[in-house]
Amino acid sequence: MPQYALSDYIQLLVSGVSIGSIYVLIALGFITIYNVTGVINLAQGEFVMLGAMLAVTLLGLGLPFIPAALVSVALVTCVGVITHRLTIQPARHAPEVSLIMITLGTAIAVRGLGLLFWGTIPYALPEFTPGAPLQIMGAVLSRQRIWIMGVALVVLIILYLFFEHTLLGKAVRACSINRGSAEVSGVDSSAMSHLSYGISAGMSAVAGIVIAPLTLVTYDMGLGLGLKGFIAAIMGGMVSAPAAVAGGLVLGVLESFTAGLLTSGIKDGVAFLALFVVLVGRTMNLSMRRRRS
Amino acid sequence: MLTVENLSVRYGHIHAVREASLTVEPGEIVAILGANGAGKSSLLKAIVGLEPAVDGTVSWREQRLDQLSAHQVAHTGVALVPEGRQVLPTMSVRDNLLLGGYKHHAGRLRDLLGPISWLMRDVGLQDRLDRVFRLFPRLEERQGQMAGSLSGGEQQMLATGRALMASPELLLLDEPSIGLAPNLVRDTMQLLVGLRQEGLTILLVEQDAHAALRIADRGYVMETGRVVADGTAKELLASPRMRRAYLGIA
Repeated sequence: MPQYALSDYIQLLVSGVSIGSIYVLIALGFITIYNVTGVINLAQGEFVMLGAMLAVTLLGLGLPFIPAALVSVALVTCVGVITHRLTIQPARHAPEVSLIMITLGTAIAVRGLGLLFWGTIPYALPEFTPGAPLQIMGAVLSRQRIWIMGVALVVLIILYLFFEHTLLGKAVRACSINRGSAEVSGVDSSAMSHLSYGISAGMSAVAGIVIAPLTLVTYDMGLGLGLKGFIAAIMGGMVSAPAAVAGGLVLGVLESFTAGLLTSGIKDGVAFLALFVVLVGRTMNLSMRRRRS
Repeated sequence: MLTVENLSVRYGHIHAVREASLTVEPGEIVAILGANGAGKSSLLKAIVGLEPAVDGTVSWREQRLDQLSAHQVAHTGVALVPEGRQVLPTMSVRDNLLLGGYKHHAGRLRDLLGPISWLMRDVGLQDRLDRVFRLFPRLEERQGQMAGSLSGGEQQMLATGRALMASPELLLLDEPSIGLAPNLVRDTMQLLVGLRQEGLTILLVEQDAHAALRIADRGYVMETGRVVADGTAKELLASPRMRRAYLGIA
Protein backbone atom coordinates (compact mmCIF):
# COMPACT_ATOMS: atom_id res chain seq x y z
CA MET A 1 0.00 0.00 0.00
CA PRO A 2 1.68 3.23 -1.08
CA GLN A 3 1.82 6.17 1.29
CA TYR A 4 -0.16 9.30 0.36
CA ALA A 5 0.53 12.82 1.48
CA LEU A 6 -2.17 15.31 2.41
CA SER A 7 -1.51 17.13 -0.86
CA ASP A 8 -2.47 13.98 -2.78
CA TYR A 9 -5.85 13.92 -1.07
CA ILE A 10 -6.37 17.60 -1.79
CA GLN A 11 -5.43 16.97 -5.39
CA LEU A 12 -7.98 14.17 -5.69
CA LEU A 13 -10.63 16.17 -3.88
CA VAL A 14 -10.26 19.17 -6.15
CA SER A 15 -10.26 17.11 -9.35
CA GLY A 16 -13.30 15.29 -7.98
CA VAL A 17 -15.12 18.52 -7.27
CA SER A 18 -14.29 19.94 -10.70
CA ILE A 19 -15.53 16.89 -12.61
CA GLY A 20 -18.43 16.72 -10.15
CA SER A 21 -19.37 20.29 -11.13
CA ILE A 22 -19.87 19.04 -14.67
CA TYR A 23 -22.15 16.28 -13.39
CA VAL A 24 -24.04 18.90 -11.37
CA LEU A 25 -24.77 20.98 -14.47
CA ILE A 26 -26.00 17.93 -16.37
CA ALA A 27 -28.00 16.66 -13.37
CA LEU A 28 -29.74 20.03 -13.00
CA GLY A 29 -30.65 19.78 -16.67
CA PHE A 30 -32.28 16.41 -15.98
CA ILE A 31 -34.32 17.61 -13.02
CA THR A 32 -35.38 20.89 -14.64
CA ILE A 33 -36.97 18.99 -17.50
CA TYR A 34 -38.28 16.22 -15.26
CA ASN A 35 -39.98 18.59 -12.83
CA VAL A 36 -41.70 20.69 -15.43
CA THR A 37 -42.61 18.11 -18.07
CA GLY A 38 -42.39 14.79 -16.21
CA VAL A 39 -39.98 13.49 -18.85
CA ILE A 40 -36.65 11.82 -18.10
CA ASN A 41 -34.67 13.19 -21.00
CA LEU A 42 -32.10 10.59 -21.99
CA ALA A 43 -30.87 12.91 -24.74
CA GLN A 44 -29.40 15.25 -22.10
CA GLY A 45 -25.85 14.05 -22.80
CA GLU A 46 -26.24 14.83 -26.49
CA PHE A 47 -26.77 18.50 -25.61
CA VAL A 48 -23.39 18.32 -23.84
CA MET A 49 -21.77 16.91 -26.97
CA LEU A 50 -23.47 19.45 -29.24
CA GLY A 51 -22.30 22.32 -27.04
CA ALA A 52 -18.67 21.21 -27.24
CA MET A 53 -18.79 20.25 -30.93
CA LEU A 54 -20.45 23.48 -32.05
CA ALA A 55 -17.92 25.51 -30.07
CA VAL A 56 -15.08 23.60 -31.79
CA THR A 57 -16.68 24.11 -35.20
CA LEU A 58 -17.32 27.82 -34.66
CA LEU A 59 -13.73 28.31 -33.48
CA GLY A 60 -12.63 26.51 -36.64
CA LEU A 61 -14.70 28.96 -38.69
CA GLY A 62 -12.58 31.75 -37.23
CA LEU A 63 -14.84 33.04 -34.45
CA PRO A 64 -12.98 34.18 -31.30
CA PHE A 65 -13.47 31.93 -28.28
CA ILE A 66 -16.05 33.87 -26.27
CA PRO A 67 -18.47 34.51 -29.16
CA ALA A 68 -18.01 30.91 -30.29
CA ALA A 69 -18.92 29.62 -26.83
CA LEU A 70 -21.91 31.97 -26.48
CA VAL A 71 -23.26 31.19 -29.95
CA SER A 72 -22.86 27.49 -29.27
CA VAL A 73 -24.81 27.73 -26.01
CA ALA A 74 -27.51 29.78 -27.74
CA LEU A 75 -27.77 27.30 -30.60
CA VAL A 76 -28.03 24.31 -28.26
CA THR A 77 -30.68 26.16 -26.24
CA CYS A 78 -32.67 26.49 -29.47
CA VAL A 79 -32.04 22.81 -30.26
CA GLY A 80 -33.48 21.99 -26.82
CA VAL A 81 -36.64 24.02 -27.46
CA ILE A 82 -37.04 22.51 -30.94
CA THR A 83 -36.49 19.00 -29.57
CA HIS A 84 -39.30 19.55 -27.10
CA ARG A 85 -41.57 21.05 -29.73
CA LEU A 86 -41.01 18.28 -32.25
CA THR A 87 -40.57 15.16 -30.13
CA ILE A 88 -42.18 15.62 -26.71
CA GLN A 89 -45.08 18.01 -27.08
CA PRO A 90 -46.90 16.07 -29.80
CA ALA A 91 -46.72 12.99 -27.54
CA ARG A 92 -47.33 14.68 -24.19
CA HIS A 93 -50.38 12.55 -23.41
CA ALA A 94 -48.44 9.32 -24.02
CA PRO A 95 -47.40 7.16 -21.07
CA GLU A 96 -44.14 8.02 -19.35
CA VAL A 97 -42.31 4.99 -20.74
CA SER A 98 -43.13 6.03 -24.30
CA LEU A 99 -41.77 9.50 -23.62
CA ILE A 100 -38.53 8.03 -22.28
CA MET A 101 -38.25 5.87 -25.39
CA ILE A 102 -38.73 9.00 -27.51
CA THR A 103 -35.86 10.75 -25.72
CA LEU A 104 -33.71 7.65 -26.17
CA GLY A 105 -34.49 7.74 -29.89
CA THR A 106 -33.62 11.43 -30.00
CA ALA A 107 -30.30 10.70 -28.29
CA ILE A 108 -29.41 8.00 -30.81
CA ALA A 109 -30.47 10.20 -33.73
CA VAL A 110 -28.45 13.19 -32.53
CA ARG A 111 -25.41 11.00 -31.88
CA GLY A 112 -25.80 9.56 -35.39
CA LEU A 113 -26.00 13.03 -36.91
CA GLY A 114 -22.93 13.97 -34.89
CA LEU A 115 -21.10 11.03 -36.39
CA LEU A 116 -22.17 12.09 -39.90
CA PHE A 117 -21.08 15.69 -39.45
CA TRP A 118 -17.94 15.34 -37.39
CA GLY A 119 -16.81 11.75 -37.94
CA THR A 120 -15.09 9.65 -35.32
CA ILE A 121 -12.00 11.81 -34.89
CA PRO A 122 -11.64 13.56 -31.55
CA TYR A 123 -11.38 17.35 -31.62
CA ALA A 124 -9.55 19.52 -29.14
CA LEU A 125 -10.82 22.71 -27.58
CA PRO A 126 -8.00 24.90 -26.20
CA GLU A 127 -7.92 25.70 -22.50
CA PHE A 128 -9.69 28.98 -21.73
CA THR A 129 -6.52 30.48 -20.25
CA PRO A 130 -3.52 28.35 -21.16
CA GLY A 131 -0.64 28.44 -18.76
CA ALA A 132 1.20 26.55 -16.10
CA PRO A 133 -0.96 24.74 -13.54
CA LEU A 134 -1.51 26.41 -10.20
CA GLN A 135 -0.11 25.06 -6.93
CA ILE A 136 -2.54 25.04 -4.04
CA MET A 137 -1.36 23.52 -0.73
CA GLY A 138 0.96 21.20 -2.62
CA ALA A 139 -1.74 20.08 -5.04
CA VAL A 140 -1.26 20.78 -8.74
CA LEU A 141 -4.33 22.17 -10.38
CA SER A 142 -4.79 22.91 -14.08
CA ARG A 143 -6.31 26.29 -14.82
CA GLN A 144 -9.16 24.67 -16.72
CA ARG A 145 -10.37 22.93 -13.55
CA ILE A 146 -10.69 26.31 -11.87
CA TRP A 147 -12.67 27.51 -14.89
CA ILE A 148 -14.97 24.50 -14.61
CA MET A 149 -15.75 25.16 -10.96
CA GLY A 150 -16.10 28.91 -11.49
CA VAL A 151 -18.42 28.58 -14.48
CA ALA A 152 -20.53 25.94 -12.71
CA LEU A 153 -20.86 28.23 -9.71
CA VAL A 154 -21.92 31.15 -11.91
CA VAL A 155 -24.52 28.98 -13.68
CA LEU A 156 -25.85 27.81 -10.30
CA ILE A 157 -26.18 31.38 -9.07
CA ILE A 158 -27.98 32.49 -12.25
CA LEU A 159 -30.29 29.50 -11.98
CA TYR A 160 -31.01 30.27 -8.34
CA LEU A 161 -31.76 33.92 -9.07
CA PHE A 162 -34.01 32.94 -11.94
CA PHE A 163 -36.08 30.38 -10.06
CA GLU A 164 -36.25 32.24 -6.73
CA HIS A 165 -36.27 35.92 -7.66
CA THR A 166 -38.05 36.37 -11.00
CA LEU A 167 -41.71 36.00 -11.81
CA LEU A 168 -40.95 33.88 -14.87
CA GLY A 169 -38.84 31.49 -12.78
CA LYS A 170 -41.65 31.22 -10.25
CA ALA A 171 -44.10 30.55 -13.07
CA VAL A 172 -41.92 27.67 -14.29
CA ARG A 173 -41.85 26.30 -10.72
CA ALA A 174 -45.61 26.75 -10.44
CA CYS A 175 -46.02 24.55 -13.54
CA SER A 176 -43.85 21.89 -11.97
CA ILE A 177 -45.96 21.92 -8.79
CA ASN A 178 -49.44 22.21 -10.26
CA ARG A 179 -49.81 22.70 -14.00
CA GLY A 180 -53.57 23.21 -13.88
CA SER A 181 -53.56 25.96 -11.30
CA ALA A 182 -50.69 27.73 -13.06
CA GLU A 183 -52.64 27.61 -16.33
CA VAL A 184 -55.76 29.03 -14.68
CA SER A 185 -53.65 32.00 -13.52
CA GLY A 186 -52.69 32.67 -17.13
CA VAL A 187 -49.34 30.85 -17.23
CA ASP A 188 -48.81 29.21 -20.62
CA SER A 189 -47.57 25.86 -19.34
CA SER A 190 -46.49 24.56 -22.72
CA ALA A 191 -44.30 27.66 -23.15
CA MET A 192 -42.83 26.89 -19.72
CA SER A 193 -42.06 23.34 -20.88
CA HIS A 194 -40.28 24.75 -23.91
CA LEU A 195 -38.38 27.09 -21.64
CA SER A 196 -37.34 24.28 -19.30
CA TYR A 197 -35.99 22.30 -22.24
CA GLY A 198 -34.10 25.36 -23.46
CA ILE A 199 -32.60 26.13 -20.05
CA SER A 200 -31.54 22.57 -19.49
CA ALA A 201 -30.05 22.16 -22.98
CA GLY A 202 -28.16 25.44 -22.58
CA MET A 203 -26.77 24.35 -19.22
CA SER A 204 -25.60 21.07 -20.69
CA ALA A 205 -23.92 22.92 -23.57
CA VAL A 206 -22.02 25.01 -21.01
CA ALA A 207 -20.93 21.79 -19.30
CA GLY A 208 -19.69 20.40 -22.63
CA ILE A 209 -17.70 23.53 -23.46
CA VAL A 210 -15.96 23.82 -20.10
CA ILE A 211 -15.01 20.16 -19.90
CA ALA A 212 -13.90 19.85 -23.55
CA PRO A 213 -10.32 21.13 -23.01
CA LEU A 214 -9.77 18.32 -20.48
CA THR A 215 -11.31 15.43 -22.37
CA LEU A 216 -11.30 16.05 -26.14
CA VAL A 217 -14.55 16.26 -28.04
CA THR A 218 -16.04 13.23 -29.78
CA TYR A 219 -19.43 12.55 -31.29
CA ASP A 220 -20.19 10.00 -28.56
CA MET A 221 -18.96 11.93 -25.51
CA GLY A 222 -22.56 12.62 -24.50
CA LEU A 223 -23.33 9.02 -23.63
CA GLY A 224 -20.96 8.74 -20.69
CA LEU A 225 -21.43 12.28 -19.40
CA GLY A 226 -25.19 12.08 -19.73
CA LEU A 227 -25.23 8.86 -17.72
CA LYS A 228 -23.10 10.37 -14.96
CA GLY A 229 -25.39 13.40 -14.82
CA PHE A 230 -28.39 11.09 -14.67
CA ILE A 231 -26.85 9.13 -11.81
CA ALA A 232 -26.13 12.37 -9.95
CA ALA A 233 -29.75 13.47 -10.47
CA ILE A 234 -31.05 10.14 -9.15
CA MET A 235 -28.68 10.29 -6.17
CA GLY A 236 -30.28 13.66 -5.45
CA GLY A 237 -33.78 12.21 -5.66
CA MET A 238 -34.61 13.68 -9.10
CA VAL A 239 -36.57 16.62 -7.69
CA SER A 240 -34.44 18.85 -5.51
CA ALA A 241 -31.72 21.08 -6.99
CA PRO A 242 -29.55 21.26 -3.84
CA ALA A 243 -29.69 17.46 -3.55
CA ALA A 244 -28.64 17.13 -7.20
CA VAL A 245 -25.70 19.47 -6.55
CA ALA A 246 -24.67 17.26 -3.63
CA GLY A 247 -25.19 14.14 -5.76
CA GLY A 248 -22.98 15.45 -8.56
CA LEU A 249 -20.17 16.53 -6.25
CA VAL A 250 -20.22 13.28 -4.26
CA LEU A 251 -20.13 11.27 -7.47
CA GLY A 252 -17.19 13.28 -8.84
CA VAL A 253 -15.20 12.96 -5.62
CA LEU A 254 -15.97 9.23 -5.30
CA GLU A 255 -14.72 8.64 -8.82
CA SER A 256 -11.64 10.72 -8.33
CA PHE A 257 -10.64 8.94 -5.12
CA THR A 258 -11.27 5.52 -6.63
CA ALA A 259 -9.16 6.35 -9.65
CA GLY A 260 -6.41 7.91 -7.56
CA LEU A 261 -6.21 5.49 -4.66
CA LEU A 262 -7.29 2.20 -6.26
CA THR A 263 -7.24 2.00 -10.02
CA SER A 264 -8.71 4.18 -12.74
CA GLY A 265 -10.14 1.11 -14.46
CA ILE A 266 -13.01 0.80 -12.00
CA LYS A 267 -13.80 4.53 -11.92
CA ASP A 268 -16.95 4.14 -14.01
CA GLY A 269 -17.94 1.09 -12.01
CA VAL A 270 -18.13 3.30 -8.93
CA ALA A 271 -20.78 5.48 -10.55
CA PHE A 272 -22.95 2.48 -11.31
CA LEU A 273 -22.34 1.03 -7.87
CA ALA A 274 -23.50 4.33 -6.40
CA LEU A 275 -26.59 4.24 -8.60
CA PHE A 276 -27.28 0.66 -7.54
CA VAL A 277 -26.93 1.45 -3.84
CA VAL A 278 -29.17 4.52 -4.10
CA LEU A 279 -31.87 2.69 -6.05
CA VAL A 280 -31.86 -0.39 -3.82
CA GLY A 281 -31.81 1.78 -0.71
CA ARG A 282 -34.72 3.80 -1.99
CA THR A 283 -36.78 0.74 -2.92
CA MET A 284 -36.17 -0.82 0.49
CA ASN A 285 -37.07 2.43 2.17
CA LEU A 286 -40.30 2.58 0.17
CA SER A 287 -41.32 -0.99 0.84
CA MET A 288 -40.53 -0.58 4.53
CA ARG A 289 -42.68 2.51 4.69
CA ARG A 290 -45.47 0.67 2.88
CA ARG A 291 -45.28 -2.18 5.38
CA ARG A 292 -45.44 0.23 8.29
CA SER A 293 -48.53 1.98 6.96
CA MET B 1 -72.78 37.32 -20.12
CA LEU B 2 -71.62 33.73 -19.88
CA THR B 3 -73.48 31.30 -22.09
CA VAL B 4 -72.96 27.57 -22.00
CA GLU B 5 -74.83 25.61 -24.65
CA ASN B 6 -75.19 21.83 -24.89
CA LEU B 7 -71.80 21.29 -23.33
CA SER B 8 -70.58 17.69 -23.00
CA VAL B 9 -67.45 16.46 -21.25
CA ARG B 10 -66.23 12.90 -21.38
CA TYR B 11 -63.41 11.05 -19.60
CA GLY B 12 -62.90 7.92 -21.66
CA HIS B 13 -66.24 6.14 -21.50
CA ILE B 14 -67.59 8.22 -18.66
CA HIS B 15 -69.96 10.97 -19.69
CA ALA B 16 -69.25 13.52 -16.97
CA VAL B 17 -71.38 16.31 -18.44
CA ARG B 18 -74.22 15.73 -20.92
CA GLU B 19 -75.52 18.61 -23.01
CA ALA B 20 -75.54 21.09 -20.17
CA SER B 21 -76.78 24.60 -20.88
CA LEU B 22 -76.77 27.62 -18.61
CA THR B 23 -76.39 31.38 -18.62
CA VAL B 24 -74.99 33.85 -16.14
CA GLU B 25 -75.96 37.50 -16.54
CA PRO B 26 -73.51 40.26 -15.58
CA GLY B 27 -73.62 40.99 -11.86
CA GLU B 28 -75.47 37.77 -11.00
CA ILE B 29 -74.57 35.11 -8.48
CA VAL B 30 -75.57 31.77 -9.97
CA ALA B 31 -75.22 28.47 -8.11
CA ILE B 32 -74.79 25.01 -9.62
CA LEU B 33 -76.06 22.44 -7.16
CA GLY B 34 -75.99 18.71 -7.11
CA ALA B 35 -74.60 15.64 -5.40
CA ASN B 36 -71.04 14.39 -5.58
CA GLY B 37 -70.21 13.20 -9.10
CA ALA B 38 -73.09 15.06 -10.75
CA GLY B 39 -70.63 16.72 -13.13
CA LYS B 40 -70.53 20.17 -11.54
CA SER B 41 -66.74 20.38 -11.32
CA SER B 42 -66.27 18.97 -14.80
CA LEU B 43 -68.59 21.67 -16.09
CA LEU B 44 -66.51 24.41 -14.46
CA LYS B 45 -63.28 22.86 -15.70
CA ALA B 46 -64.62 22.76 -19.22
CA ILE B 47 -65.67 26.42 -19.01
CA VAL B 48 -62.13 27.53 -18.08
CA GLY B 49 -60.47 25.19 -20.56
CA LEU B 50 -58.93 22.73 -18.10
CA GLU B 51 -60.98 19.92 -19.64
CA PRO B 52 -61.75 19.74 -23.35
CA ALA B 53 -65.43 19.80 -24.21
CA VAL B 54 -66.34 17.06 -26.67
CA ASP B 55 -69.38 19.01 -27.78
CA GLY B 56 -71.16 22.29 -27.20
CA THR B 57 -70.08 25.90 -26.87
CA VAL B 58 -69.03 28.28 -24.13
CA SER B 59 -69.07 32.00 -24.77
CA TRP B 60 -68.25 34.92 -22.55
CA ARG B 61 -68.95 38.46 -23.77
CA GLU B 62 -69.32 37.42 -27.40
CA GLN B 63 -66.04 35.50 -27.23
CA ARG B 64 -65.87 31.72 -27.67
CA LEU B 65 -63.98 30.10 -24.79
CA ASP B 66 -64.38 26.47 -25.80
CA GLN B 67 -61.55 26.65 -28.34
CA LEU B 68 -59.12 28.34 -25.93
CA SER B 69 -56.66 26.72 -23.55
CA ALA B 70 -56.86 27.54 -19.86
CA HIS B 71 -54.19 30.24 -19.84
CA GLN B 72 -55.93 32.01 -22.71
CA VAL B 73 -59.24 31.89 -20.87
CA ALA B 74 -57.50 33.59 -17.91
CA HIS B 75 -56.74 36.53 -20.19
CA THR B 76 -60.43 37.03 -21.00
CA GLY B 77 -61.20 38.03 -17.41
CA VAL B 78 -62.37 34.66 -16.10
CA ALA B 79 -60.80 33.28 -12.90
CA LEU B 80 -61.34 29.97 -11.12
CA VAL B 81 -61.05 29.08 -7.46
CA PRO B 82 -60.45 25.39 -8.04
CA GLU B 83 -61.81 22.39 -6.22
CA GLY B 84 -59.60 21.49 -3.27
CA ARG B 85 -57.94 24.95 -3.34
CA GLN B 86 -54.90 23.79 -5.33
CA VAL B 87 -52.57 26.33 -3.78
CA LEU B 88 -48.84 25.83 -4.45
CA PRO B 89 -47.86 24.27 -1.10
CA THR B 90 -44.08 24.69 -1.39
CA MET B 91 -44.27 28.35 -2.35
CA SER B 92 -44.93 31.29 -0.07
CA VAL B 93 -48.36 32.88 0.33
CA ARG B 94 -47.05 36.00 -1.39
CA ASP B 95 -45.65 34.02 -4.34
CA ASN B 96 -49.00 32.26 -4.72
CA LEU B 97 -50.68 35.65 -4.91
CA LEU B 98 -48.07 37.07 -7.32
CA LEU B 99 -48.61 34.11 -9.63
CA GLY B 100 -52.35 34.64 -9.39
CA GLY B 101 -51.79 38.00 -11.07
CA TYR B 102 -49.38 36.54 -13.65
CA LYS B 103 -51.61 37.50 -16.56
CA HIS B 104 -51.00 41.20 -15.89
CA HIS B 105 -47.29 40.65 -16.48
CA ALA B 106 -47.32 37.85 -19.05
CA GLY B 107 -46.19 39.85 -22.07
CA ARG B 108 -43.73 42.12 -20.29
CA LEU B 109 -40.13 40.88 -20.26
CA ARG B 110 -39.07 43.44 -17.67
CA ASP B 111 -41.71 42.16 -15.24
CA LEU B 112 -40.95 38.51 -15.97
CA LEU B 113 -37.16 38.64 -15.74
CA GLY B 114 -36.52 41.59 -13.47
CA PRO B 115 -35.97 40.99 -9.74
CA ILE B 116 -39.24 40.53 -7.84
CA SER B 117 -38.35 43.63 -5.80
CA TRP B 118 -38.69 45.74 -8.99
CA LEU B 119 -41.98 44.10 -9.73
CA MET B 120 -43.23 44.94 -6.25
CA ARG B 121 -42.87 48.64 -7.11
CA ASP B 122 -45.53 48.20 -9.79
CA VAL B 123 -48.44 50.37 -8.68
CA GLY B 124 -51.08 48.11 -10.16
CA LEU B 125 -49.64 45.07 -8.42
CA GLN B 126 -49.55 46.89 -5.06
CA ASP B 127 -53.19 47.89 -5.48
CA ARG B 128 -54.22 44.34 -6.26
CA LEU B 129 -52.25 42.96 -3.31
CA ASP B 130 -53.65 45.59 -0.95
CA ARG B 131 -57.16 44.77 -2.04
CA VAL B 132 -56.66 41.07 -1.34
CA PHE B 133 -55.02 41.82 2.01
CA ARG B 134 -57.94 44.10 2.93
CA LEU B 135 -60.35 41.21 2.25
CA PHE B 136 -58.09 38.68 3.99
CA PRO B 137 -55.90 40.35 6.64
CA ARG B 138 -54.80 36.85 7.68
CA LEU B 139 -52.99 36.43 4.35
CA GLU B 140 -51.01 39.61 4.93
CA GLU B 141 -49.83 38.31 8.31
CA ARG B 142 -48.78 35.02 6.73
CA GLN B 143 -47.42 36.24 3.41
CA GLY B 144 -43.94 34.83 3.99
CA GLN B 145 -45.19 31.44 5.12
CA MET B 146 -45.36 28.38 2.84
CA ALA B 147 -48.90 27.96 1.53
CA GLY B 148 -48.85 24.29 2.54
CA SER B 149 -48.55 25.25 6.20
CA LEU B 150 -51.84 27.19 6.20
CA SER B 151 -55.04 25.81 7.69
CA GLY B 152 -57.84 24.71 5.38
CA GLY B 153 -59.74 27.94 5.90
CA GLU B 154 -56.64 30.03 5.20
CA GLN B 155 -55.90 28.01 2.07
CA GLN B 156 -59.41 28.76 0.89
CA MET B 157 -58.72 32.46 1.46
CA LEU B 158 -55.47 32.13 -0.47
CA ALA B 159 -57.14 30.32 -3.37
CA THR B 160 -59.80 33.04 -3.52
CA GLY B 161 -57.24 35.83 -3.12
CA ARG B 162 -55.12 34.31 -5.87
CA ALA B 163 -58.09 34.30 -8.25
CA LEU B 164 -58.86 37.92 -7.35
CA MET B 165 -55.24 38.93 -8.12
CA ALA B 166 -56.15 38.34 -11.76
CA SER B 167 -58.77 41.14 -11.43
CA PRO B 168 -61.43 38.94 -13.01
CA GLU B 169 -64.86 40.01 -14.14
CA LEU B 170 -66.25 36.50 -13.88
CA LEU B 171 -65.31 34.45 -10.83
CA LEU B 172 -65.94 30.71 -10.79
CA LEU B 173 -65.76 28.89 -7.48
CA ASP B 174 -65.67 25.13 -7.11
CA GLU B 175 -66.96 23.97 -3.72
CA PRO B 176 -65.50 26.84 -1.69
CA SER B 177 -67.27 25.66 1.46
CA ILE B 178 -65.96 22.10 1.47
CA GLY B 179 -64.22 21.16 4.70
CA LEU B 180 -64.89 24.55 6.31
CA ALA B 181 -66.48 25.17 9.70
CA PRO B 182 -70.02 26.66 9.49
CA ASN B 183 -68.90 30.14 10.52
CA LEU B 184 -66.23 30.13 7.79
CA VAL B 185 -68.83 29.01 5.24
CA ARG B 186 -70.92 32.01 6.27
CA ASP B 187 -67.88 34.32 5.90
CA THR B 188 -67.15 32.92 2.45
CA MET B 189 -70.71 33.48 1.29
CA GLN B 190 -70.73 37.02 2.74
CA LEU B 191 -67.50 37.70 0.88
CA LEU B 192 -69.09 36.66 -2.40
CA VAL B 193 -72.02 39.00 -1.78
CA GLY B 194 -69.50 41.80 -1.21
CA LEU B 195 -67.61 40.96 -4.39
CA ARG B 196 -70.82 41.02 -6.38
CA GLN B 197 -71.55 44.50 -5.06
CA GLU B 198 -68.18 45.54 -6.45
CA GLY B 199 -69.37 44.40 -9.88
CA LEU B 200 -68.13 40.82 -10.11
CA THR B 201 -70.20 38.13 -11.79
CA ILE B 202 -70.10 34.87 -9.85
CA LEU B 203 -70.76 31.25 -10.77
CA LEU B 204 -70.61 29.01 -7.77
CA VAL B 205 -70.55 25.22 -7.62
CA GLU B 206 -71.77 23.94 -4.25
CA GLN B 207 -72.88 20.82 -2.49
CA ASP B 208 -74.10 22.91 0.39
CA ALA B 209 -77.31 23.98 -1.33
CA HIS B 210 -78.60 25.91 1.70
CA ALA B 211 -75.55 28.12 1.93
CA ALA B 212 -75.41 28.69 -1.83
CA LEU B 213 -79.10 29.49 -2.34
CA ARG B 214 -79.05 31.97 0.51
CA ILE B 215 -76.84 34.29 -1.57
CA ALA B 216 -77.56 33.19 -5.15
CA ASP B 217 -79.99 34.88 -7.53
CA ARG B 218 -80.57 31.73 -9.53
CA GLY B 219 -79.53 28.12 -9.48
CA TYR B 220 -79.15 25.06 -11.67
CA VAL B 221 -79.40 21.51 -10.38
CA MET B 222 -77.28 18.77 -11.93
CA GLU B 223 -77.76 15.03 -11.78
CA THR B 224 -75.52 12.46 -13.53
CA GLY B 225 -74.12 15.06 -15.89
CA ARG B 226 -77.42 16.71 -16.87
CA VAL B 227 -79.02 19.93 -15.79
CA VAL B 228 -82.33 18.66 -14.40
CA ALA B 229 -83.78 21.81 -12.88
CA ASP B 230 -83.24 25.52 -12.79
CA GLY B 231 -84.92 28.57 -11.38
CA THR B 232 -84.55 31.49 -9.03
CA ALA B 233 -83.14 30.74 -5.61
CA LYS B 234 -86.58 31.22 -4.13
CA GLU B 235 -88.21 28.77 -6.55
CA LEU B 236 -85.55 26.15 -5.93
CA LEU B 237 -85.81 26.52 -2.18
CA ALA B 238 -89.56 26.04 -2.44
CA SER B 239 -89.55 23.14 -4.89
CA PRO B 240 -90.50 19.87 -3.18
CA ARG B 241 -88.07 17.90 -5.29
CA MET B 242 -85.16 20.13 -4.25
CA ARG B 243 -86.20 20.03 -0.62
CA ARG B 244 -86.24 16.25 -0.65
CA ALA B 245 -83.08 15.64 -2.65
CA TYR B 246 -80.70 18.38 -1.60
CA LEU B 247 -81.94 20.31 1.34
CA GLY B 248 -82.66 17.39 3.59
CA ILE B 249 -86.16 18.66 4.35
CA ALA B 250 -89.03 16.23 3.99
